[in-house]
Amino acid sequence: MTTSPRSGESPGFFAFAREHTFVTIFGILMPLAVFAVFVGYPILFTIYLSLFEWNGMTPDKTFVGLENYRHMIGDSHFQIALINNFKWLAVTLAFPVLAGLLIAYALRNRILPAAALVRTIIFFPVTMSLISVGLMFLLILNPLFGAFDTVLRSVGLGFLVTEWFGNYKVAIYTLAIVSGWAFTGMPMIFYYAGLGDVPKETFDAARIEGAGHWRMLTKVAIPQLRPVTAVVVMLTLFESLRAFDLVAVMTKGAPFGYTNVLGYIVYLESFWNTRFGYGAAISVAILAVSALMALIILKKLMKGAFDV
Amino acid sequence: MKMTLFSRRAIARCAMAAVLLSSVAGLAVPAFAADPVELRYFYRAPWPSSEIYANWLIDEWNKKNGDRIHVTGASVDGETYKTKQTIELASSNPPDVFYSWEGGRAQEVIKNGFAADLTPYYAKYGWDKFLVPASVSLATFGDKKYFVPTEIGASVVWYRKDLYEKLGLKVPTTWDELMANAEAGKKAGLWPFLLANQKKWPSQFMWSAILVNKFGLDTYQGLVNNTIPWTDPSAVETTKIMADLAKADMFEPSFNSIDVGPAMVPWSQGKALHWYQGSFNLGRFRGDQPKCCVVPMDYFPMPSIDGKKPVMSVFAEDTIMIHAKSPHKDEAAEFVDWMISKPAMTEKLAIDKPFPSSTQGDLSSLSEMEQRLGKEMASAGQFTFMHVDHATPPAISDRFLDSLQGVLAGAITPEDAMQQTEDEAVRTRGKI
Repeated sequence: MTTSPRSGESPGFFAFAREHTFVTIFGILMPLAVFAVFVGYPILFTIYLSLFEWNGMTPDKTFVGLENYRHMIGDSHFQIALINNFKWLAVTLAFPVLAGLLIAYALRNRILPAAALVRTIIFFPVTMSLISVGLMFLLILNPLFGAFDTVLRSVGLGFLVTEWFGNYKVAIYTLAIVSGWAFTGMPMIFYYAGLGDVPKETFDAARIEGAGHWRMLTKVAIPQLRPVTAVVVMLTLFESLRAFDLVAVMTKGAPFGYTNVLGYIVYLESFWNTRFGYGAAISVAILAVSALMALIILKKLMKGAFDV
Repeated sequence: MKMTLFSRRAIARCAMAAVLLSSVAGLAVPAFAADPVELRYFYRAPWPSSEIYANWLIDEWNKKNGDRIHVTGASVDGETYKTKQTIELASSNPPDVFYSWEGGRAQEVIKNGFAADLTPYYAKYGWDKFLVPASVSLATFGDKKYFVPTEIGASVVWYRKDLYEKLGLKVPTTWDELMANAEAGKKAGLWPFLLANQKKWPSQFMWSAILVNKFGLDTYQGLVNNTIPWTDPSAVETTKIMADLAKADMFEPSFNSIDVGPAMVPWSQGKALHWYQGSFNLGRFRGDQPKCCVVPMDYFPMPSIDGKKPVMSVFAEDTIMIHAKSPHKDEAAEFVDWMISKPAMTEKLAIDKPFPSSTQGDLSSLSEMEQRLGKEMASAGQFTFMHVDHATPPAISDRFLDSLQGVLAGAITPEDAMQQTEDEAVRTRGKI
């Protein structure tokens, strides 16, 4: 015998479970258990670990309370890394997201020829390992024989040549742009799919009204793409905050720690300097910053983006 | 019916006989063919040749001794080893034999109880009789020996012989003569020194050599052994010298953007006159040639500064420890003894790169220059030094390297650089 909820009234969990046993076990409880074991437990353990001083070698941990957090606040390398993550985020939002949108729009509106080929070429770096990307750009941007400087000089832009990894004012942007190059295909694909869902009549109507591409992009496409933009911005945020690979393979935080990002100093502090407690505290900071940023983006900037 | 009973009885008898036979056999087997002792060897393979050599080492051992002591190897590339080592050593099934760095990292491993005291094995096998004295001295902590060096290195000033001849320069014996040669090179359009400091560690080589040769070995040992703070005038002054060299264009342009590997290109092209670097680069210098080197080059030790007797840095590049929790320490020591035996060391030269830690290694396959360096290292005595990233724990050395790179980039002052290093040192080892 099954009971149905009265219309307008949501059934309790147990009533739902009695009625849909299979879905409850395999669709809710098991995924929840997997999540708890593989995501929830590591997060809780990291928070717990952040209250200790531990070198990872001995079973003994020393309880230090909030000392790791206190040290973190005054640690100039942590501050530089945090600021670098925001610089990385800014570059990634400005470059690949914008470039992805523009390329997707150009492809959808047949402004660019050979759409399938262009789409494949732009998306290809997304499939590459960031380690390979890093090694490739180390050669391209090498100050001794790198192709990039040679190209700049040959087109009369030699004055732009700088130490892409050695100049501490520039190096973090170099890394973020390389990351952006590898990431552009992702927002492009999202926007390309999103633009396919915008009714053709909307664009046609705008065109009849005399709108050019700029007005169609800003007044028609972008407002219609708000849910896609919300997803892309969230992905970009997480991509930026978990940046690690390129720093590890290209600079190792050099010069002078000016390309350190939070993900890299977690690795450095935990495994290199064997301060697992401090590394855990920085991990908790990354989690807090990610959650806060996601909240701000969803509640303020993208409010209503997912409303149907 | 009879047949069935007979069959059952026969089957039962057969089964009993089989059980008896198998139990007798089971008892007998261990007496005649015991399972070999299984040893796990965890090592670092920074070069492709390191992996080839380690495989040869293990295969040869197993061919001769595999029925008694069987060795299984597991390797991690150079960069990743440090991070994996912690996990491996602390695991419930740690390796019996493992690679460890000398100096600060070795001290951490010893302090945490992972390294077995090898002093009895040094006595049993007489290792200190044929290992390079400097490397044995590095393996000694207090009155005990904790590792066996298998490869040693030295830092020297490499110079281009052809350019020296072209410019009419003589090998310098003092710092002032070296600087005069560097100036002459600069005037001729050459880079006086290659630094290739993208990965931060290369600049410390010259820094520590200048400090040792200017302020003495005791001062340097005081810094890395926590009896002298990093804000000491000697450390600040040495950092200033490095900053002045950078300001005077004594290093290649963009030195903080160039890594050691790519720096081989300008070195081979004859763009640089000197390069103060470790002998572990001999593999690069040799290139595809059977003997070193692809360009005419030689070396001299960092010369005397202010009349002080110069000291050459000799360090243990590869060191082997036995895990304190290994149930097979004696067998592990036997395997380690094979690693530093004459045939193994000679093969190391053939497959890997110089220099073996044993004075028994046959150096005759090497070029004259390499042989000379090998002999000089062997006779360097016990009084030598490690560079900062070997001598101190990673937390201190990493901050030191960051700071030194910052000074060379003009981002911070030498005083601030040493203060930052000292702050990190205080956090790691407390105030002194």
